[in-house]
Amino acid sequence: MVVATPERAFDAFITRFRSTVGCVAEAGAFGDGREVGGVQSVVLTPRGFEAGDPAPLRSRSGQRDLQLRVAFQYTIVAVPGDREERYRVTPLAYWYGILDGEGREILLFHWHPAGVSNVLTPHLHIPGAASVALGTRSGKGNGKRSVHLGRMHVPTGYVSLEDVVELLIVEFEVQPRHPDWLAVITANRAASESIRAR
Amino acid sequence: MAAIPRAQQTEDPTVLDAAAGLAMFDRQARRLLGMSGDEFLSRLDAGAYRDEEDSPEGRAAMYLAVLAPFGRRDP
Repeated sequence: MVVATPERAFDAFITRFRSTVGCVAEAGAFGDGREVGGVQSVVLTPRGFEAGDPAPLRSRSGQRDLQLRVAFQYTIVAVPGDREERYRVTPLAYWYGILDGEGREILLFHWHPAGVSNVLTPHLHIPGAASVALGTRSGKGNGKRSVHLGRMHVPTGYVSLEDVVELLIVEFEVQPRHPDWLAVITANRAASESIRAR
Repeated sequence: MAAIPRAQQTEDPTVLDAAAGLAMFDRQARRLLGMSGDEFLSRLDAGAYRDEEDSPEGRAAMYLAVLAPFGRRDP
């Protein structure tokens, strides 16, 4: 979404961010600035917890055995227009974590192209995955080689917050907090994709 | 939307003020890695967490790295 001021661009972005998170968690989200060109972050503020803590999620069976931890980096860029500059929020990095109720990592979607890792493209960690001993087609070989899924950076495309929330509802059976969650997710995903397509 | 402590509230309902952002970052660094936010940033800037994603601590460092702009603000 390209709008007339950086403040309006950020407000539209954070409103979408909050409504997406709100589909599964009682949590707010706050940025650290609305300056054009700066590297800035968003942090979740789960109700009843400290800012930056994971947000507890409720399953359809009523258990609170999952949590969502999110950090997101963005910048606000000026977009030259016919008459005046306009502004939009552009993602720079994300860290989405699906944790169990005790904080153990289940799935982690990371993208930190300017980060300290040597993996700069979007990827998935599955920390709890067991190693897989590899068989061979002929049945021969020493049979000792394994792949360690828990240590892999599994490539993904860009994963939006909407993708993660939909995954939580559909696959992890998290109870949506609103009956219209899919409409919210769909609209916010479309807005997110339109920004990244520019 | 979750309530935040009154001390963190600002006139802007979408942006944490600098003091609240710094306090959040410091608290999370202490909770996740057992060090202050400033110490974490020094280690991060010195390259201490390069390619450390294979451990929970390394992944926690990546989380803090994404939040680092909160910790770099002037109070």
